[in-house]
Amino acid sequence: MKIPLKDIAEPVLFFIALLALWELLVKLVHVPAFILPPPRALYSAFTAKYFILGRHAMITFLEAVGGFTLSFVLGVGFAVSVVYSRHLQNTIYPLIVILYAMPKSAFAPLMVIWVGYGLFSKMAIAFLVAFFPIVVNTVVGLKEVEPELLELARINRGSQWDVFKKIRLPNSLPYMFAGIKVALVLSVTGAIVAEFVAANEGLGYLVLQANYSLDTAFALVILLMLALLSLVLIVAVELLQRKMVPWSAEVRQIEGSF
Amino acid sequence: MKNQAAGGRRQKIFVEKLVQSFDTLAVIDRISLSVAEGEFLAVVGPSGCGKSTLLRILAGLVTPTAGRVRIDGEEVQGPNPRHNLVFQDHALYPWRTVFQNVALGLEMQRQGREAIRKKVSELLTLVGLEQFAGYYPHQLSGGMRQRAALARVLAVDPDVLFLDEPFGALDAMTRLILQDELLRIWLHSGKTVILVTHDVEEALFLADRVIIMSTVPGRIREVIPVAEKRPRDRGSANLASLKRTVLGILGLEPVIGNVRVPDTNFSI
Ligand SMILES: Nc1ncnc2c1ncn2[C@@H]1O[C@H](COP(=O)(O)OP(=O)(O)OP(=O)(O)O)[C@@H](O)[C@H]1O
Ligand SMILES: [Mg+2]
Repeated sequence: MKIPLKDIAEPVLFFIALLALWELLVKLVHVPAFILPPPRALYSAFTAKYFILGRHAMITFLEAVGGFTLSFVLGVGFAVSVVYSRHLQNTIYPLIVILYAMPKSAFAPLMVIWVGYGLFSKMAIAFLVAFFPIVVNTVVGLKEVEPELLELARINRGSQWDVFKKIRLPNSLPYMFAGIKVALVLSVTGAIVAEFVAANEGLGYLVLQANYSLDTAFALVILLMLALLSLVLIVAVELLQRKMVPWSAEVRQIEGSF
Repeated sequence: MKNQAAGGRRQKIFVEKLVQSFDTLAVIDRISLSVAEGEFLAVVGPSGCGKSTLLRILAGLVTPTAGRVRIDGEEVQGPNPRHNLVFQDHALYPWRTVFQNVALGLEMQRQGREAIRKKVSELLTLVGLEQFAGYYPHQLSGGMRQRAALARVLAVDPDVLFLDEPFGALDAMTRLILQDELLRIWLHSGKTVILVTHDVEEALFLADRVIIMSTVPGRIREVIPVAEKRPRDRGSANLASLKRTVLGILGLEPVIGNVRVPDTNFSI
């Protein structure tokens, strides 16, 4: 896929203009640095503290990805069991839906009591927020199969395993990927919120520290770092999706719009 | 050519007083029908009159409310790969390439990899898709999708073929080409075919008999035998006059010299 030069140049120029305007306005209006520092202050904050930034970003990354991975494994497993077991569908699934409606990050203080102060309580929150989108999307994807596709398997005497492996699972992939993308962004948010509650490392902790010392420039740098973190994860998933689901309409649409 | 003469063959499909209703909606009303082995039967009728439902019952996908279906003297209890179906909207698996789609039935029947490869290549050549084996359905044209669906059903070599408007969504040109291909395949195969179609010309060009159904609840209004030898001339005077008759019965053209009693079930 070749991207035209114009499509690269345009956003780059736009961002440069935006930064220049920001710098100019802050100078002209004399905004105090602790309210809105100029972009150059952000840059110096970054160059001065990138090592610390990187170390804490690594922590948050581990928490988010750890929680997400757990939610993916358990979520897909759970979705499959729900689809294949009427009992689970009648008992556990409604429970899950109720939990879904709860604000999961409100569990963060409790998690500290249950799981402790360290990495794992953050992963637990990241897991909680990421679990539901994965389950819900996968369940829908496994269930919403064109009836003709299933009937064709009946006609040809396909086994239950055939139906799962060759029909339901591939059918669920585009849904699953949609769930994964939501889950990843949520797991980063979950990790951050958990760090706000109780932590001595990670970007959430770092942004609080920056706030206490009125180091607004560094706080903004951390937020940008968080955006970068989420973006890297999303793009990675996007690429994986194109590899794994080249036939999906959603993927085709993304290809066309990139 | 196995399928030249239609007469004097044993009965393949036997349908007796078939009734189907969904909740309170009566869809099929006492259809009885007998199809000879190797016969090509076409079914035409207004939209929603139960043609697809009839095929699904014959294919064993739906258990009828009443009545029975026997194929080769055996009551149809459920689906069977020997009595295979091409669905109204091709129903290709979007995540499978053309090759994999055609291979599906054979895979489910646990045939060996090499046997599958050989059979699939053969069929792709037969329907003219050998260069598109690696394409996904979304990369194909409508006509190519229908060819793939046809190849897929032929792959398991059924002796009864139910075709539900296989060329319905195609342009006139492609449709004619595929009709010729279907005819060629059928002539060489000895298969029994029931084709549902909206296209009266298609029915008359291909079939030994054309069944005309009423509006819902579907009944058999008329059975029109088409005696002409194949390959038929699409422009022949005989087919043209048969077409007029069929359209007349469907209520789409006035039957001259004959006062038509309006169908009591007719609704718009
Ligand atoms: N599973 C079902 N449940 C309820 N109603 C159904 C079901 N299947 C079909 N019907 C109804 O039966 C009637 C006949 O449907 P069917 O698909 O057999 O028509 P058709 O003759 O094939 O129409 P078309 O020519 O438009 O394809 C319709 O009114 C439809 O709504
Ligand atoms: Mg139909």
